[in-house]
Amino acid sequence: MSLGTSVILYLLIGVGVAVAVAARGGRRGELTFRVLAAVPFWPLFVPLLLSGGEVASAAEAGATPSPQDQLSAAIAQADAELEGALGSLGGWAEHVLSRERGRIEELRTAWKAQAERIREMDRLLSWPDPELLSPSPSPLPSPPGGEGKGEGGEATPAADRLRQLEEARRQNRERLRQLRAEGYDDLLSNLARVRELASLIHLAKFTGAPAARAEELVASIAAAVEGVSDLGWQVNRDGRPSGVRGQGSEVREEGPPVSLLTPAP
Amino acid sequence: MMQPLAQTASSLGAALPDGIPATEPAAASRELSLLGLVEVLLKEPRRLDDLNREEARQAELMPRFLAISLASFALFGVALSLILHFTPPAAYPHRLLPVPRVNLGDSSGLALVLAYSLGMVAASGLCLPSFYFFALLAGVKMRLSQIVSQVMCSKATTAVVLVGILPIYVAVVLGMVVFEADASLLETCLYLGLALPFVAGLAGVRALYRGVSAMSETMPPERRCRRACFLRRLTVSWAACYTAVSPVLIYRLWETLAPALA
Repeated sequence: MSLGTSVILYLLIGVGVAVAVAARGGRRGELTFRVLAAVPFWPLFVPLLLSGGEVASAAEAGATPSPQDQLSAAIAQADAELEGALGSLGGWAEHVLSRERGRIEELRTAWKAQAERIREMDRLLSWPDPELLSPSPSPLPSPPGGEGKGEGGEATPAADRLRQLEEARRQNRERLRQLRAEGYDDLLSNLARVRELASLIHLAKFTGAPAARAEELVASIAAAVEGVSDLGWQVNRDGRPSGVRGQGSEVREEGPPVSLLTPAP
Repeated sequence: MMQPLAQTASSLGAALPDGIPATEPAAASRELSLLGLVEVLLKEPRRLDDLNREEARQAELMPRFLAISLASFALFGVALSLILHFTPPAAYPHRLLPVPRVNLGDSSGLALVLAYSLGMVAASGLCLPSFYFFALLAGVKMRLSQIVSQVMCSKATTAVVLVGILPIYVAVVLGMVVFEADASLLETCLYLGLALPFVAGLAGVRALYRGVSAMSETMPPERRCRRACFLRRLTVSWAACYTAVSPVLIYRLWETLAPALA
């Protein structure tokens, strides 16, 4: 196949992709650019076309914010206030900022990571939780004083085990729900604490406080990362959830997940 | 469960109590315009990573990154064509690699502009499958559309940095032409000019690494730490692959287009 034939074939595919891009719609000027660019650069457009799902415009996304976006908005707001406060340190106590810049970046990363964990738990908890069917009735006689009872009031080992497993599962789900609520509360209180510290920086600046005060406040903000990064989703080496700690909250030790495979201590 | 969140979020994003409106929405809409995007690329790359991570925005952002890249590479091509046109024949690059003649009298200058504009971007398209497989090997769960978005963001960063260093380079080389610098020195400088997009590409590699790292932010910290070396290797592999492909593509395009347009 000659170079000319290859180019024609390449451009023909490009025209096909350009038609698909045009079918997606958009503003006139932008759409024209997309269609023209799709002809020579179609390999870049194909993955976007195949990524599936409706591509919501920014306006649509803003009109119907999902809970995730609202959580992101809360983080963005706290971040913007923090940035404003840190920006106001210029000419007053910028040396403090240069020292703590890394930890403040860590704090931002930790906020996002924690928000993502909360969303993940929300997704898990939103799954339907139907009860399993009861086990088939056993022909065996029920043990004397046994608690597991099958259909017709007969106790069977299978029914007993099923009931215990269901109970353990329910408890684990409840623990997950609590963990989510604690993580959510800790994140919000951490954001609120940082906002308060940001407002204190502004106040300290305009009341003529010494640079040492700014140093103290920025160090407090940087220390807030500990509150986020120590939240309950971290798993220690045993694979057990570690203690849940939040901003200004006590350490609450959590036990291992409830399972019949792990005998209770 | 989400009700308090909605309330908190709305109260956080609401206007200030004394009637001063919050300025965040205006900033958000400015980011999405083409010039706004350039501004974000330069001033707030971290925010750009956040935008780039939103899947719904990838289809919007990618053509804009492409437009920024094409415009900047075209500008670079025009500047280089002008320089090569005014270069004395003795200093014209020929020692390491003979480059096609550029004459503004015919359309051979256009070949250089097209070679850089098309070549730099088309090389990304050629490397996409490799990028995807490298990401899989590194254990980073990225879709092809996310890779395209990250790569184009990196390309736009390269393009903006290139436009930033271009005036300095043009001033230096034109100075050498005007003051009749040594031919071999001028030739070396011209070779450096031809490789200037790859020098600027270092900023693109940094942006790519930052973007890939931002993609892994949602991993638990322990796993993220274990993956950190893989992310570096992934970025280096991508950069190496692209750096091997794009100069060849640019040169072949230039060589093919120059006689056709002359």
